Amino acid sequence: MSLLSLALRFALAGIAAISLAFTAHAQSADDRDNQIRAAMVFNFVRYAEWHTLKPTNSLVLCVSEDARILDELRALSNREVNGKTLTVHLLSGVSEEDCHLAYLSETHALDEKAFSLFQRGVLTISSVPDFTSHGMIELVTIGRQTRFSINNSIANEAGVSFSSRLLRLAVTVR
Amino acid sequence: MQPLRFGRSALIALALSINITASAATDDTPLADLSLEELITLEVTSVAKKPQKPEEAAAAITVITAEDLRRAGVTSLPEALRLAPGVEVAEIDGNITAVTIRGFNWRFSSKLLVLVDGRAIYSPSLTGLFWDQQLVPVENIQRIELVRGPGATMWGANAVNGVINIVTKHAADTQEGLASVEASTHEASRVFGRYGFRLGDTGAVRAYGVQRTTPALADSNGSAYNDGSDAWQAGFRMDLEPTFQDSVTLQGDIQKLEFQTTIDTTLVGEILYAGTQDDQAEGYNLLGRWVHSFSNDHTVTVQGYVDHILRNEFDSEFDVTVYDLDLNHHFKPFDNLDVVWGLNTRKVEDKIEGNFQFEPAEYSYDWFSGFAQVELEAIPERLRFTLGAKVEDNSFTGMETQPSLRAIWLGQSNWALWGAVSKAVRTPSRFERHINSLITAFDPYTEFNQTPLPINVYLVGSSDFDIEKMVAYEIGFRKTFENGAALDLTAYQQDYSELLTPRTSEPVVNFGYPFGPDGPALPVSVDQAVILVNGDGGSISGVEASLTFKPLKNWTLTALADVRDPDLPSSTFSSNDAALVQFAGASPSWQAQLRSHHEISDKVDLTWTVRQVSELEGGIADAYTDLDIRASWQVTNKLELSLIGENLAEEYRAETESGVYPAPTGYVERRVLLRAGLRF
Repeated sequence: MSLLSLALRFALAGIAAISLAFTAHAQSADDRDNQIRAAMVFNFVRYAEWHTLKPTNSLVLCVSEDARILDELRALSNREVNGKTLTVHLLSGVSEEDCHLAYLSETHALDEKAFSLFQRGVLTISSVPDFTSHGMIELVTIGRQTRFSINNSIANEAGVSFSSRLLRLAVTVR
Repeated sequence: MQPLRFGRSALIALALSINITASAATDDTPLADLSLEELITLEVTSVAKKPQKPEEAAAAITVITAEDLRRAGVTSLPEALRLAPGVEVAEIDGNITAVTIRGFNWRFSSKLLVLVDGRAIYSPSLTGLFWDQQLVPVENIQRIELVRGPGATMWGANAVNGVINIVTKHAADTQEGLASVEASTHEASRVFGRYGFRLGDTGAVRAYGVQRTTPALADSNGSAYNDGSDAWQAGFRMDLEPTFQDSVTLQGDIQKLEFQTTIDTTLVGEILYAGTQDDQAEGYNLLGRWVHSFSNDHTVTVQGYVDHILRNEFDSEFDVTVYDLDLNHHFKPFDNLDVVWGLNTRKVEDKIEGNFQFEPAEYSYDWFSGFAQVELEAIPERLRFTLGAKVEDNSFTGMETQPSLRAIWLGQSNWALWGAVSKAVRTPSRFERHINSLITAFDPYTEFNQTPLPINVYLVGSSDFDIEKMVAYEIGFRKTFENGAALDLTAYQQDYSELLTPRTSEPVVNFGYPFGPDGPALPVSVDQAVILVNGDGGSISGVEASLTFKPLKNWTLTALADVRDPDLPSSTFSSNDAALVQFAGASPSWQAQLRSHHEISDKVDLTWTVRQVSELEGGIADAYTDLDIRASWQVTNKLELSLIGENLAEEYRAETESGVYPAPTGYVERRVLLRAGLRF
C-alpha cells in the first residue's frame, strides 16, 4: 500500500469518527464548573484565619438560598478542615454571628447583607462580578476557567487573614 | 479486497463513535480533595496526549509545578530541569547547557524531545536543540512534564531518551502585572516584566519581556574567558473560550541573543575561526491551537505553528524555519476503552552557509506521521493496558514505525506497578547527512601533527546515514503512604543500535606544483576526513528513584537518585581519531540530590539542595558536590524578596566539556543572587 493511500484511509476513517461524534451529547458544562467552584470555596477555608471570631470546633459556611452552587456546597458538610468540622447552613436559617464564611448569591452580594457580614468578620465569597469592590473573595470565570480574586485590605479590616500561598494563586489581589 | 478493508475500518469508526453517547464522563475523585493548584489544573499530557494523573501513568514521569520552581528560585530552564530525577544537566559555558535523560549528554541533547506548549524545539537540521535560545521565563511556566524513556509512540522520532513538555500558564492566570529584577555577583542580571488582562468574559491575554545577561564561565585560573551573553525575548499568549466547548490559544515569541564563543587553539592547532568571536542568534515563533471538547473525554485539537531560528556563529549562518500542523482526537468509545489518535505534517526549510558547509546549503524537507494509542481498562480501577504505534514518514529514511506496549496495575492501598516495552528512533538530521566542512588544520611539526605536511581535517556526513534505533524495557513502582510520603522507583534497559559514530578515513595526500607548472609535483598537504556513520550499538541500564516526605507539617524533604550502567562502544564517547568530535557526550554514572523546603512562617521560606554528581564517562569531568540555598521573604502581598546562593560547596568546578567545538573548559563558580518580584 502506498503512503498516500495509507494516509488517505487514516484521514478518512478519522474524519468519519469525528463527524459522527458531533452527534454525541456534550456533558453538562455547569455541573463540573459548579463542583470546581465549591471545591475552591472549601480550599479557601484551608488558607484563611479569623481573628475577631471566637474560636470554635466547627466552621460554619452560610449560603444564600438561591446560590447556584448550593447543592455542591452542601455536599461539603461535615468535612474536616484544619482540625475543625465544616458545617453548611442556609444564610436565612442561622444567625449571622454564627457564620465564619458566607457564599452570597446576587440577592445578597449586592445589598447591605454583605456589609453586615463584613462588619462581623465573616469571610465573604461570591461569583458576582466586581464583588471584590466590597467583598473579600470573588470567584471569577474567564471562558472555561474558574479562578479567584481577593480584596485583602477589606479582609484584613474585617479581621480575616489569608496565607501567602492563597494570595499568590489569586489572579488579582487588592 | 482493498475497498472491503477500508469499509471495515469505517464501520469500526462508526461503531466507536456511536458508543460515545453511551459513555458518561466519570471522575471519582472528589474535587474538594484537590488542592487549589490542582484545581487550577494539574494534569499530565506528555505520556498520553490527554489529561491524565501522573501517578496513574504507565511511564516514568515527573511533574515540576510552578510552586516547585518558585521554591527552588530557578530562573533558567536547564536549572529547572535539575529538580526532576534522572535528568542530567551540565553547564558547558555561559550560555549553553547540556541536558539529557538516561545518558548521552552533550551540547545538542540529540536524543531528547523538548516541547514548549506543544511546539517541538528539536531542530531537525542540526540533531538537537540550542539551549541558549530557550528563554521561556519561569514566571510564565505552569508546569514541566518530564517523561524519562521513549515517548516516540505519541511524539515521534527523536523522543528517544525522554520527552520534556514545558506548559506555560493560561492567560487567565497571568492577569495584571508582575516585575522581577535580579542582580548577582559575576555580572549576571535578569529583568522580567509581564502584564495581562481579560478580554471580556471569555478570554485573557498577556504580554511579557525578559532580558538576561549571563557571565562567561571561568577558565581554570578563575578569570572569565569571554564576555558571556546578552539575550532578550518578548512574547504574548491569548486564550479565548468563546463557548464552553471551544478554546482557542494564540501565542508567539520573538528573541535576540548576543554572545561570545571562544575557540581554544591549544586544543586543536590552527583553526579557521580561532579566538573569541562575537556571535548572534535570533528567532521567532507563532502558534495557534483550537480545542473542541464534546465532553471531558472527547476532544479534538488542531494546532499549527511556525518556528524560525537564525544563528550566526563561527562565521557560519544557520537559518531554519519549521512549519507544523497537527490534528489530535481523544475519545472514549466504551467505558473501559480510551483512544487517542493524530496526524501530523511538518515542513522544514533551512540554509546553512559559511565555515560550516552543508551540501546542499539550502534544503527543504517534509515529515508526515500518524499515531494511534488505545488504553484498555481490563479490570476496572486496577489493570490498564496501553498499546500504541506511530508511523512516520521522513525525507531522509522513509517510513519508520515506533510501537509501544504499556501496562499498569493500580493496587488497593495507593500503589502502582507498571511496565513498558517501546521502540523509538532518532532520524538523521541534515548534519549527519550533509555536512562537508573543513573544521581544522594542523601545522607541520606541531603537537598534533608530527609530519612535515599540514593536515586539513574535514567533517563529512554520509548520504546513507540511517536512523539510530532504540528498544526500551521499563518497570516502575509507585506508592503513596498514609502520611503523604511518595515513593517512585523505575528500572530500565535501553538497547541502542547503529549509533552515530565518527570514523576517520584514510588520509589523502594533495600534490601541488610549488615550483610552477613546469616543476615537479610534490606533496603539499594532507586531507583527513572524519566521516559520520552508523556504528555499533550498545545498551544503558539504570535505576531512578525519588522519595518525598514531610517530617513536619511545614517541612518537605525530597530525595532523588539515579544510577546508570552504560555498555556502549567507547568510540561514541569521544573519538581518539578526531579530538574535535564528541558526538555522544558524557554522562555521570550516578547522581543524588536532597532538597529541603521549610516554611519557616507564612511569609518566610527556606530551600536548600545538596546535589552530588559522579565523574563523567571518559573522565571528562570530575565528580562534584553542589549546595544551593534560597531564602525568600514575602514582604507584602505584592513584594517578594529572595536571596539565593548557588554552587556554595566548592569554589569552582567543571561540569562537562565543550564537545563538538574545541572550546576551553568552563568552570562554574559560586554565585550569590538577590531577586525582587513585584505584582502590580
